[in-house]
Amino acid sequence: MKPLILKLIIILVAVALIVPTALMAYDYYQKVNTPINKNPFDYIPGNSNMVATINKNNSLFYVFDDNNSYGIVANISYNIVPSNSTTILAPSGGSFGNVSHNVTVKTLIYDKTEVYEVQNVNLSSILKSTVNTTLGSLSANNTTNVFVYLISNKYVVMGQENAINASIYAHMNNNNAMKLEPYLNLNINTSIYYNLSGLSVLSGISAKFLTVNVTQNQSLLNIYMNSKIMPYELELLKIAFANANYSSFGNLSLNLSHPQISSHNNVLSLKYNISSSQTEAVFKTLNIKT
Amino acid sequence: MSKFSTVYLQYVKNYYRSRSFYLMLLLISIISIMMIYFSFKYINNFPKFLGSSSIPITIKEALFYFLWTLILLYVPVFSAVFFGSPAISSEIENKTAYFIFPLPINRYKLYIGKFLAAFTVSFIIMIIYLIVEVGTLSYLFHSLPTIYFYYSLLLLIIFILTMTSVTFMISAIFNKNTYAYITVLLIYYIVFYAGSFIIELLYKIDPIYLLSDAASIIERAYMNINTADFFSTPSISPAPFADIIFSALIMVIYFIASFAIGLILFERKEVS
Repeated sequence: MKPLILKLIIILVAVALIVPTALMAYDYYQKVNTPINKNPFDYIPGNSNMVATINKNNSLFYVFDDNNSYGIVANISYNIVPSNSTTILAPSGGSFGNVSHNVTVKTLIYDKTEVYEVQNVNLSSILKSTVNTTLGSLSANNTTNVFVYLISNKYVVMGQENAINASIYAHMNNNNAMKLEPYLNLNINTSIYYNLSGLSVLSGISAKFLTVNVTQNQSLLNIYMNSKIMPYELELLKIAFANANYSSFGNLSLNLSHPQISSHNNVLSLKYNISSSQTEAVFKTLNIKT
Repeated sequence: MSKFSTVYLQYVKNYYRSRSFYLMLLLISIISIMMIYFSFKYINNFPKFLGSSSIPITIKEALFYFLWTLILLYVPVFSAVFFGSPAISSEIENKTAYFIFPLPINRYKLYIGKFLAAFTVSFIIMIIYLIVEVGTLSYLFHSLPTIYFYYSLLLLIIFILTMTSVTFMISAIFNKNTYAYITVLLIYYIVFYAGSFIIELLYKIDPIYLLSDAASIIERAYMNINTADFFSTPSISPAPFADIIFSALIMVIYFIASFAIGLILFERKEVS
């Protein structure tokens, strides 16, 4: 065979092999670089009593209460096997707080999910340090075990054991809080969903859930009734809320008065002209203190 | 075919009898003994070393395989340098080309035969290490290797083929062994390794197209931690399958390109 022909054959074969390989590699490169599109709501139980999104230091935290067991979903900057240094699993923009005493980490498997049990830490202090929020039902001095698991190196879910179990179950069984996402505003300081489970607001008027949206200048409370609000019902509600300093929704209490009240279909909107720094009164309704 | 197998077997015999082979054998034996010692010493202490009181056995096993595999990112490079770098240049330097080139055998058969012989001896060296690795870790963890071991093995074979091919190509450029040795090491450790670091540092881009970066998949098949990349996000999970295929394809591209260039250069090679 002539050397020139042989060279041409070698080049042609090489090009014929390299081009499809490069195209295939590019295809896989796209797959590798496709960002993992995980939604934190997928890891929050759908039947949570409360779901709150809190913006702090440009980080978004998702707090949920599943039957008085609290959990928090947060972005994580990195993922390493947890060690005695609890800061290793600290979510970006926060830390595990002041945990100077002995902390041990135990690894467990729940439903094929690797869960780290961080022993002897205080969930209340973690919440305080991450989202500057304390939950009234958690004792500030209550040292307990915090359970933590990771979602695709992107989010960390941590909280009390029942909350973590519920979170894993919610994800596995598609019983998640995705349906609640439209009711929460992720771009403002704080947005809260609270399940009212058909609670009677006024005689004959019952509510499914309420949402609270706190911005820099005002707080908007929307109560979603079971049925459309009639004009006479709105008048009754206006009187009730305008004069009340203290309104009660079952376990909730509202320590505010004189809102601007309006309604649309089954939603009663109460607008309070208070800034986000004055929202403690609103959060008292949800047993949350900022 | 008989000519090709004669060439192949003759060069395997040559490599097998060479000092390079025994040097690599000695090197891999020392590394194997050190790794056995390391594994037995730290099998129960490792979790404390990492700072955790308990690590699941599956993660611990993956971690040990990962650490053993770290060696396989470097030894194939030296093996390729020892067996591949002088492959063509030595024929010119030692003037053996005067006898070999006029033989009634196609140059490409000579090149491929020698290439496969170099690959075979390199692979034999690695197989010795892998047998020790599997034996030690199977004994310590009472289980056979997982699927990730086989992924890693396949990727290692591709890496050895690629490195051998790159060294053969460089060897076909030079007429002196020393130049070939130095150039391969410079290309791999300065252009690829240091280049990767500088590109990431300056441009915040992961140069996934560099051979050293693609080769890291051999260890990342167990845990997605790139020990040569200071900027990537580490994960204890194995690298995603798409990442494995992508890195393998990058190595294959290097292999085909360098093999074709090496073959053309060898065809043009003249004994002066």
